Amino acid sequence: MQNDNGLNPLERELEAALGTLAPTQAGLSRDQVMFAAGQASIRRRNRIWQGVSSGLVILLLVSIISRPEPVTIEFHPEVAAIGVPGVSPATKTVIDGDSGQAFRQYVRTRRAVLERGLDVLPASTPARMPMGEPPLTREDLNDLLSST
Amino acid sequence: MTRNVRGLLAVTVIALALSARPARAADPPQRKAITTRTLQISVAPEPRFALQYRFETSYLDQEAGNAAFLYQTAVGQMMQTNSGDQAIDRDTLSQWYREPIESLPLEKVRRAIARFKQSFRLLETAICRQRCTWEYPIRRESVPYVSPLLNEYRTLSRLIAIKAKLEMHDGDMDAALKTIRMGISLARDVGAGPNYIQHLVGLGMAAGTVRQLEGWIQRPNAPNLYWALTTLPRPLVDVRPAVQTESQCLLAEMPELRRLEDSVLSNAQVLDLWTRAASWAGYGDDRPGNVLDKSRNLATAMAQYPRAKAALLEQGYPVERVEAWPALYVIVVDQYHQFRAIRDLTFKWTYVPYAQARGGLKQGNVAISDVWKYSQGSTLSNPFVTSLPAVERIAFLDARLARDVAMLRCVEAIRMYAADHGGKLPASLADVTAVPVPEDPIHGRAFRYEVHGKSAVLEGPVPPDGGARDGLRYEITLR
Repeated sequence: MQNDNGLNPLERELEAALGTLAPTQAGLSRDQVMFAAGQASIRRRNRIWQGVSSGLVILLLVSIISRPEPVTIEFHPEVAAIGVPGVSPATKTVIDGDSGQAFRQYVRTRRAVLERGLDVLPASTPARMPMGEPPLTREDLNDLLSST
Repeated sequence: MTRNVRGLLAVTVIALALSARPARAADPPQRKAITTRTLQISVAPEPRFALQYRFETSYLDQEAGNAAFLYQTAVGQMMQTNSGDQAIDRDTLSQWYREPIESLPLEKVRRAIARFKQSFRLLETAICRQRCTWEYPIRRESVPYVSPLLNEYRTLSRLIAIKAKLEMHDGDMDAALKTIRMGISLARDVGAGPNYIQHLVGLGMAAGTVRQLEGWIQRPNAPNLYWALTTLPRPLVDVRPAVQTESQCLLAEMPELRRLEDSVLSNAQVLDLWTRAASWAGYGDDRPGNVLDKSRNLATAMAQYPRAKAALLEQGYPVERVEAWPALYVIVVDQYHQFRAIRDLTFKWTYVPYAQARGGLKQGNVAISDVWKYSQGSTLSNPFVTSLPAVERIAFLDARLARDVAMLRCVEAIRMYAADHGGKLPASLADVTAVPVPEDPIHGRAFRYEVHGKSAVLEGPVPPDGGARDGLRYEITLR
């Protein structure tokens, strides 16, 4: 059954209950909202800085721990390493008519031999790796180094 | 944020302070890695006739003539044999050369080696020649000639080593001795060639051949080779012909240097000299003319002039004479003097045993480095000096071969001792008195030797600045 306001008793009861509620003062002002937003923004930036700092600290510590022994680098005109295998760029040793060019070729070949081993000398013996041959291991390389 | 930045800066400062101290200064020195080989040896007394076994052709078997031509022919013959479908490729040859004979396909190796009999016969004839002269036209052509066949000599040397391994495996020790003699003679003659490249090839061949004697020593009932090794020339591979050429070749290439002080050169002539020198010193690649930019060189030279002038005045040149000379001529005269001083400082030590020469050789290297540092690697960093080879390292490689031979002599002395003392190893090398025990030619003192029951360790230690391959340790077990 409805009254003249078109409300039933249940709805009138709700209306009355709502009518007793007094409006309170608003909890947030515009300034407060702006301040909170600023704070949140700073917190985010702080986290980025903290992350970057931590990363750099870790990197620095790792680099200190794993730092290699100090090496004194000196100039050596030629460094000999006889017997390094497998590097056979066709270093020409043909002496041509131009003495200067031939001398230059000699100095370069000597330097190459001392730096990379005798295998830099030109060879007619074919270099052929049979199919299915496993690649050279470090031990193989050491053997070869000591075999020349 | 400011607090974080401050924190980060503090950490960075601490890290930099920490990194300024020497890294791991407190770490104990690590024991160096060293090449180690095991030898299973048997006792072996001195032969009834001490000089019965020799690695050199006896006087009566020698014939007049030059071995070099026959060596070249043997190499040519080998190249011809090793062509076509049946050619042994480099990798296979290396494998056969370095691996124990027991692990190789014996019949295949035997057939392959038999194909080179013509080359071996030529070598047998060659090693009986009384001399070996490499008649390269060095003086005429003004260049240290390098045979384009040098690498083929290495191939031939490896074939010889494989042949010796086969013969030892078959128990034919006389044939093996003959083959090793062939390998040593070839290496000795090739290595006595007139330049460092050929010398290094000879050294490598000799070292590979001498190493086959480790196989000999391990064969049961193998005769004792102490005296055979003792009769080898010392040094086994003569470096003197190479030293003579290498110390003089700049003057052969640039004869005007020898007459530098006979007539004054103009600035333009000096620039031309530098241009040529810079091209072979490695500054100019293939464009020597472009690299030596004249204006830049003049600017660099002017910076060197006061020092060069002061050096000449200090040597007693009259001041008016030096001041009258073109500026670049003053510099080039000083450079030439510097080159001669450093060249002699370095090469003089090649005439002294390595153990005594090591410090002097290093001084030479430092002197070259100093020249380089002074000019900071510019094109005018005295190209004459930078043409000098790594004499120190080559001298070490010579000593390393001598060390290998000396250690084998030690092992043979030990086998001899064991034969005379009921199969016991000597407690120390000083206990071996029947024959002299050689010292380590690298360090100039006795080899390290320790014995534990029926096994012993004989060691030529790695030099302070050397790598694992520069030292050698034998772990010896007496059967």
